[in-house]
Amino acid sequence: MHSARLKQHTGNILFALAVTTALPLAPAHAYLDAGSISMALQVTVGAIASGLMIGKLYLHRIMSFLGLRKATSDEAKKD
Amino acid sequence: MFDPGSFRDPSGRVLMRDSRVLRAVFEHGRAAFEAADSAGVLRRAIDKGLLLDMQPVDPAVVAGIVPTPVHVIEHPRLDFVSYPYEWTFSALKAAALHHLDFQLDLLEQGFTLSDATAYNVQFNGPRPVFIDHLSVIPYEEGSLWTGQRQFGMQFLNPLVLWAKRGIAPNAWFRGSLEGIAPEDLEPLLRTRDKLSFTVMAHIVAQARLQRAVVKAGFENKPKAAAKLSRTAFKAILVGLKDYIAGLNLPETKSVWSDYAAHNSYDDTRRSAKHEFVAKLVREEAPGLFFDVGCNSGDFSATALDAGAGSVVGFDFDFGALERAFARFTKSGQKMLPLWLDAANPSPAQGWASAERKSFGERAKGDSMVALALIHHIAISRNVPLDQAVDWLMAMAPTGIIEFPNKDDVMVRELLSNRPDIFPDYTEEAFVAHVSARGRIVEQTRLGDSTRLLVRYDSRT
Repeated sequence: MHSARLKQHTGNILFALAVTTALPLAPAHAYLDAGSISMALQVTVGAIASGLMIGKLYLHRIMSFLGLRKATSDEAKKD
Repeated sequence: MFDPGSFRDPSGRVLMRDSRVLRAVFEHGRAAFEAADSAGVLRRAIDKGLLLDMQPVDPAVVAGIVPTPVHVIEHPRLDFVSYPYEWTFSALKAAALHHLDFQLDLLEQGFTLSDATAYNVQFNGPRPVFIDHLSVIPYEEGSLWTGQRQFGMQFLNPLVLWAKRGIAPNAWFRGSLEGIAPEDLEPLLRTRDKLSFTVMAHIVAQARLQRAVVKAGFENKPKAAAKLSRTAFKAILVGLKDYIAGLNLPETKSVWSDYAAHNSYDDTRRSAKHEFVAKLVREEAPGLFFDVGCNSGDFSATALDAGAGSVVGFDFDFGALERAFARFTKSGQKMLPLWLDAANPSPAQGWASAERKSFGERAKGDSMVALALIHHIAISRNVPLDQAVDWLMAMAPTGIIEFPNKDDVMVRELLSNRPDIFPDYTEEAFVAHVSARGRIVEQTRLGDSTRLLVRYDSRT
């Protein structure tokens, strides 16, 4: 019971740390708008998504180069 | 005067005039509409099948409406307006991918969508189409994706619940028209469900930050990020698209192969029942045909082959609906299978109880069939037989209702574990109820004579 609570607590702290280092937190005098949560995370999410997209593209090219996967029509067009 | 579901966006409203579907564009939406229209963005999207067709019409057709519109456009009438809580998994997935495809296509042309509501996607047969032309607005470099939470609540989260936990979200979605919030979904997901960037970024992080902010007090609310680059925006959309495209229902992975293996349609279509349905369709030439209790769509296919303009099928069984959706997606025929509990059809709801129309308000077809269905309503759900006949015959002026009597093996099965409290469930009573509401055109008995097919015509 205690360890579960401790684990959860540690998780929360770590998450809060991650969130506060990733996001500019500033006082705001308004009601909480749930949409602003997703907006606040968007740049971080977008940056990682961009990285993943580029990673996928390179992985795809390597696989194609090694003959493990066919080049897509998009890539064929680019070439 | 205005469609009660079109109030949210001050850019314009939808209205019906003499069964024409018109959209009034107001001053507030003028700049965005004119920009998209003059850039050819709307026309290209229509030509690609992404967006519902539109034609400009003289604003005089809506003279007198307030505010005075700056433009009026007309759209083709949809056969049937359906809501996301009536869709199958594959339909919701197709709608989600359609939204993302449209958004990506617009972004390439310097435009974007102002929101991400699933109610802006409708179906032509099994093909999704976007219907809100005023959601298309010019993209401003660096602007945030304002529809992210809405996309999650109305597309991603219900799909994840369905695919990862095998729970159909329809009942929940129907009670919560804005969809399923990440903070409500997150506690239901297992660790292995969360092992993906998409789930972590769009569900888990959103939910936890929401909780963290509530806990920390509103004064510590995070500021919205200032700028999202176009590349990052595109990457978010592509990431969601890849993830959603890979989602499947665990138990229906082999819908196609199963369907091919077990399809006895070619044998059964020659049967008397199929011919009875085909004859109705040939003689009535219905534009919109309802198949109530459609199962995987055998009789819908018969109706389409016989010349029905389009079919909307209803069933309670998600597995059957999935098979129907796959089947007609493949055949390209206009059949849309929707989820319906006949004893509890979709209500009128939303703002002023009018934003989303009830099933009854929308269910006006030209012709219908209800095969092997009425015993499920009258016996399984205790609905008095005359009311069941009423409900079915109100859907279309012509149609066929199948009545299995108490000697029928399926009816015996329904009554096997319960007392028979249905003295009025008789063939004579059924025929009398139909006759009281219309003319019996033709009737025929099937197989071992425990089933009667009655074709009615309630036009005076």
